[in-house]
Amino acid sequence: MNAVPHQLGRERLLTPLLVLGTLGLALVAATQGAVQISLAELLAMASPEGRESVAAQVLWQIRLPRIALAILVGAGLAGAGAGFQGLFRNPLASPSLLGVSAGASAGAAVAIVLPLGELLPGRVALFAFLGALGTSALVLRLGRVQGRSDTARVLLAGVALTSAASAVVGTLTLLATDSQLRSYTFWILGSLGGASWGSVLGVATGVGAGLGLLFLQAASLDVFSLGEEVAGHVGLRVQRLTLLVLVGASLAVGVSVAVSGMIGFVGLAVPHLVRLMIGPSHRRLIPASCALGSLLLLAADTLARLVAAPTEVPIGILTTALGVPFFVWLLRRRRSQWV
Amino acid sequence: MGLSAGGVCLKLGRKTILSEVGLQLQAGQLLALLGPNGAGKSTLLRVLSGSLAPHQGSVRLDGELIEGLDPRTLAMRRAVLPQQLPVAYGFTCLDVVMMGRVPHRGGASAGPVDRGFALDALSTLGMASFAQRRVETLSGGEHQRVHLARALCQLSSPPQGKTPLLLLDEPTSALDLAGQHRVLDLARSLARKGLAVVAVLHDLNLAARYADRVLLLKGGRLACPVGAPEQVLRPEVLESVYGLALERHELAGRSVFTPRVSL
Repeated sequence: MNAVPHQLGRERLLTPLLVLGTLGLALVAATQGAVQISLAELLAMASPEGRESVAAQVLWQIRLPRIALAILVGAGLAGAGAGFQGLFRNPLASPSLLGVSAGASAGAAVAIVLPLGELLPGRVALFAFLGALGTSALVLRLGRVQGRSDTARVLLAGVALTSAASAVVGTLTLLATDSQLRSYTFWILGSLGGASWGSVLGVATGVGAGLGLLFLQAASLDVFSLGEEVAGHVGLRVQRLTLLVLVGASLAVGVSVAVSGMIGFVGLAVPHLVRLMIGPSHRRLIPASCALGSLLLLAADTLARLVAAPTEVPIGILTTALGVPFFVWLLRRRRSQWV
Repeated sequence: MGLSAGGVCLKLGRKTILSEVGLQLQAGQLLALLGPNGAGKSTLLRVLSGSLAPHQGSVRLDGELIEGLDPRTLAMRRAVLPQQLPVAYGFTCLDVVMMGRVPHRGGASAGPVDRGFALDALSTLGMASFAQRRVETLSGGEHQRVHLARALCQLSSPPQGKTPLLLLDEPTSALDLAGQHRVLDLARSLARKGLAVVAVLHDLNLAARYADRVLLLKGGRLACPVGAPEQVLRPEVLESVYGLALERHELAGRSVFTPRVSL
């Protein structure tokens, strides 16, 4: 596949196709669950009396917010993964392996346990964002040798910071009251079950802002793939770019983790798959990663709801079950890129 | 007009890397930076490129302080071929060369003009047929040539009346014998077209053959004033710099250096 240039058509078509796929899947997901909604019922909801039905309530209050949240969180994690991989010039750089997700969860734990008054979702998101930003900045700093980012160091720093974050969480668990502990446990399990239109709006704002920031840096991230030194030589403001990408990606991850708990491997696998399909240009890579992330997370969440109904499988377990074999494949690939 | 540096001193921690280094380079000339390993050649090149600010002294390009220029303005007039070139996985040679146009196009996306400059630069390096090849499939020498093409592309439309400055850090290190001569021949012909070119070299014979001026560093200081190759590359100076007795032979009007004794 090396010598073949990427076909123009595929590059342009992937994102629209994925978006269409996501919408189609959303339609299916909306009808499936404890309450089955037929297509006829769905159409009947257009009429005023149909809007009052139980099915309509289930759809509007429970399923649609949850679907919207899955789409947003999938886009947030995968888009942030693409940003991190570009910034670290490393396909293993993902929110979970860099320790950024763990940092976000530690931040969320602080927000839940510290006696700051009533627990507001916005505060959890803010602290998760700060945790994510702090961790990613630290990993970047610790992973550098003589001004260059070093893969082994970056990943080891990620391991160390993940441990540090879980130590923070552990300590806070000891200090927490029973009700705080319940809030935290509920949250860390990783579920999109608590979705409401309020949380959807909050997540849409945070993830949208983070991904927008990343997308604005797409062309610069392409130049960055020549390395920091060369990027500087062609006039890029490297520190500014680094900061903007860190903030954008951390915002998307932090807000996603705050609302959904830890969902691994989406940020690792998705950008990598997209890169294999349409090449490395970030202007296409970032949107397509977001779209594929949405599709996959929506699929995973729908499965999580249906596979063992009426119980729900935590979605993090599903993404990990898919992600670990992928990760092993990535490590064992003979034509190893970047690593 | 050209590149000038005066009284450049640089310390890294407590260690002095460069001390009182000065040079003048006219547009149209090729300057070779020579010296043993660790003499400060690459560091000096980074100072000349504006990537490292000296603790004392100054570097000027056409009379303007290089640290006073904003990164983009500087990038339109100065290109660098570093020693270590990370591979931009997945990008084609043309993509990489076109990145040399980034400072010229501002926020705009690349257009046919940029593409034209990039293809020209690839042809100059004899790499036109590689345009659509992915960079990770190249050999070390080919990869270096693509980056040299990127640097050329970056200097292909400098602002009116400004001297384009090309800085090459060991441009011959990844190349075979023919490649070394080809790249230095190119560097000299670029200089003749009006560029100021600085190249870090290890090979005295290459420097003697291609350079207009030679700067010889020893322990971060000039071993002797910057001058023409025959003024600087004298056996007694070289012996003190490299700690190795050398003989200069004149062969068909060219200087050739060989060690006097076997080690």
